[in-house]
Amino acid sequence: MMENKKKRNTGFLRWVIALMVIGTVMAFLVSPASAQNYPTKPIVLIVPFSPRGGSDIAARLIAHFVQPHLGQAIVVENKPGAAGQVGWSAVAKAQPDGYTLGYVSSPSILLIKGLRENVPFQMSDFIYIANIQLDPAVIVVPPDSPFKTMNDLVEYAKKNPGKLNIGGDGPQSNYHLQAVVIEKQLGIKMNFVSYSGSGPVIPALLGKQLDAGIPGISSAVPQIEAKGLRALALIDTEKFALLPGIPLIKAATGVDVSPIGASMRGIIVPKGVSADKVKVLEGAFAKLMKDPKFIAKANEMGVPLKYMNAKQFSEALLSDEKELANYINLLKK
Amino acid sequence: MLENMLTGLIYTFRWDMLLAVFTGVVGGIVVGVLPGLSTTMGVALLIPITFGMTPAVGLAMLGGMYAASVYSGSISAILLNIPGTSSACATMIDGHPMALKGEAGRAIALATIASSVGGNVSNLCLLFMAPPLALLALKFGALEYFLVAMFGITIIASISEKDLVKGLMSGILGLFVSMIGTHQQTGLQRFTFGIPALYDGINIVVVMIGLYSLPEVIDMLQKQGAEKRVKVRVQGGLFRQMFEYFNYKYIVFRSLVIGVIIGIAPGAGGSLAGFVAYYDAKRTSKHPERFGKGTPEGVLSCETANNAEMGGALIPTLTLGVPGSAVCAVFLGGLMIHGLRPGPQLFTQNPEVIYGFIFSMFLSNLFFVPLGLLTARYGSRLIELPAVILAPTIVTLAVIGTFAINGSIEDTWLMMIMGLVGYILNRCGVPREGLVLGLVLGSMAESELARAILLVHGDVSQLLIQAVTHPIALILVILCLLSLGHAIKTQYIARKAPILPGLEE
Amino acid sequence: MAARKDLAFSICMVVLSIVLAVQSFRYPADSAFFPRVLSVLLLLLSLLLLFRAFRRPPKEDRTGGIRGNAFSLMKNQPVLVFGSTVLYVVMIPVLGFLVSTALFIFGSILFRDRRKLIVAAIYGICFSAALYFVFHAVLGVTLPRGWLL
Repeated sequence: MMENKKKRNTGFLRWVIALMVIGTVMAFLVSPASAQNYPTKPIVLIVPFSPRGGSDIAARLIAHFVQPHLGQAIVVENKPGAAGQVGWSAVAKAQPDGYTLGYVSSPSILLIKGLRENVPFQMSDFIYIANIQLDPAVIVVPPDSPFKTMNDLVEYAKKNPGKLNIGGDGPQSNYHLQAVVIEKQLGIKMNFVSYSGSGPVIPALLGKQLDAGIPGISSAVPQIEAKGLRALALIDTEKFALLPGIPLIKAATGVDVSPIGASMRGIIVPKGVSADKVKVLEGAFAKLMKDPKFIAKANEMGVPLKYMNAKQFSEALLSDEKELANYINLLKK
Repeated sequence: MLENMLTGLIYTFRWDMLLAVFTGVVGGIVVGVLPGLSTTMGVALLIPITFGMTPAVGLAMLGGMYAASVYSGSISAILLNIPGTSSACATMIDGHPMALKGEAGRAIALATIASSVGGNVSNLCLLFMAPPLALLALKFGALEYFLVAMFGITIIASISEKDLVKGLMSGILGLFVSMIGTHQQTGLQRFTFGIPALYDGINIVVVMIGLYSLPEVIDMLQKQGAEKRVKVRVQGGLFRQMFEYFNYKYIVFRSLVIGVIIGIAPGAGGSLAGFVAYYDAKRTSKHPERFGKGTPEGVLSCETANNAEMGGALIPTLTLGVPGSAVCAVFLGGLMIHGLRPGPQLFTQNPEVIYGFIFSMFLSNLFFVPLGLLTARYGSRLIELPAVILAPTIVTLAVIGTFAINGSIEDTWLMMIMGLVGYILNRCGVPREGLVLGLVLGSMAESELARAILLVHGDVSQLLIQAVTHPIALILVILCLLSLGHAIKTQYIARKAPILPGLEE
Repeated sequence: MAARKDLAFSICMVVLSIVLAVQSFRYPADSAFFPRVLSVLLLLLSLLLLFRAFRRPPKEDRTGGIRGNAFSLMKNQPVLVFGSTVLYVVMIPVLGFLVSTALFIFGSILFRDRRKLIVAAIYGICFSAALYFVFHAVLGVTLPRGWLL
């Protein structure tokens, strides 16, 4: 009985293997012919965060709306771990056949490179396709705070170095980086208090445990709209489309603080993907970012959009990487 | 506001809403019963499925999943001694002994009614008192969170009455497990040994599945040769047995309050609510010695509280956009996918959706009663399966469940390591609940203390002043001291052994 | 028996707490306040348990769920369970989830009860297929793929 079973099993196995071999050969035979009309099968988008966070929600939205422009479905695959390192390593190591995309988040990825040792990828391991999201930092205070303007806050911080409690996602996050850059460029010293994400900063502000907060604008929008929080300055060079009333940091302080902490999120592929495939992808995401249905849905969900094409995106990352080198030591410890 | 509520109420009784709630509840019971599938994961997995539905229907389904899985985790806790979800951890302490006594049916009936009452009462709080209760949530600062965590840690002492030393050791082990990963305040990686899979810390579900399922499987296989496994008989009249619940009005009331308050204070979640209510029931009981040996109060207190925690946790989630627990964090994602931005305007901008959702939660908390009793009646047959079949089934569920959380096989390996730890602890008579509590509260205690110190610029004396002058902090300090004093007293009376008092801080 | 177990356990814990303490004191002070305090506490508690196990062997067996004699009857169950699970998890990336789960269930049942060949085969295939269907098709979880499915 057992013998019989085994025999049958191996017979079955042989069949399966034979089928697989045939399948693989077929795939090889078919694939070069269809290179021109890439993509011919669903594309995987690796999101290096859990299926719940902001990146994941945005990626799923993108996957849903880019399908008509790309002609194929995009399947989101979550590979969380080590604040993104696991997922980005997987993208870097993926087959450069154009069927694996990655969702990148900068400066988080730059911070990982700068702060950790033995990170198994280089920034040059990727081709940057398009930036989709831009979430700049905003300085917010409770509505009855004595700081009426950004200048009030800066003045207080100058007079009382290290006394001003400012809360943000951290430590060593992009908003922590932004706080450090503000300190350096405005010549002030604040007491940065880390929270696990921008979300928990909001109730700490509402409950007046903090003097000020530096969350990403997208997590602060509902409270700012409801006048639960007052925004003093947006750390960016352009006004925020949903809330154009928030003054830019340059207008508020006169200093052009560089918005390096603004979280940029976009699409990457591993290097080695052929130029024509890159062009196809670039075209699809360019069209997506003009799709009124997508824009409407993103606005409704509070996902702040900002399109950069491949060239702009990689240049922005390159200059950020250079600039980050000046600040990285301030984040350690 | 009343008009908005009425719109929501009427909306809830559309057939597609009812169907959605029903589907969510059925899915939730399955997710909750199966060891290896947690509430958080159930909700996370359901979100993409609701993508194509209208917001109200999608949320109703998510709510059904949430409520039913928090409840049904107790079924496997009672029958198998494996918590189906993390919030059912305290339910095991008395639930399983009840099942061993042949009272599985009674235990499940009580857990069902307790969950339903807990869920519905907390939902009433959500409906009518959300804004003032949200204000209470804002009163919790870093110091208060730290004290909540400390209070939870003192409970380890009282649930490990058999052997305080071992209980504390287990708790400290849990605290160490919680420290694995990136330090919240400095970004230093501790105890990660350079393994990227450990950088973000260990998921509590992974630990829980490992700690309980593999040792239980071994236990099951060992017993099978030596003695007949206890027949799990679900006696008739489950429905009638539910009403025994109302004899314990005092415990029920206290558990409700505990559950809702712990829910509102973001961070700790259902497992802490269950433990605190259990501890409270035991402390106020006339027969504390019966706890741990299968007393109905033990089951109904924590089941009331862990479902009451749900409505509480939704309050800050909906009104402030701050998730009250891990499940609510996922839920928040679901809200946003449906275009709802949690925050002060949610209740006025999308009244039919949000009130529809709250009313559908009432339905969810009622729907699982008949479904749960049915599952208990027929599902318990599953437990009578021969151990040789049940054992590989549980192992498979544990493996796939841990894999599915993050899609990483490393989590499965971690689960097995925790299985080994759980086995050793169990063999040596060390209560595993301590480890769970330590793990749940560890990072909260540590990072909130660090944050509290940072907020007063390192001036610890100011922190001590705050602990006495802030009313909530003061209450928590008193609670901690009472709980400690109680543990030491019972320990001292129970076995006049010279155990160093006050070792746990 | 319980005393011997306590002895072994407390020795293990003493070693573990020393390792943890050494590691904790290596970390910079502001990241290691908790682990330092706790490792010392753990060491103290382990020593206390060790001392107690030497001094007075407890009268009753306080092992959790396991009855005394079951252990000696089938000594190898823990090894079997952990061994087979390790094998199973190792197989997953090679054979894929579906095949390895079916094989694991089939093997586990058959190994412990030779008479249940048919039950094992049917249950193995049906249960793994059902799991695959629920997780993959309904819930959309990406299950591990090997080079067989």
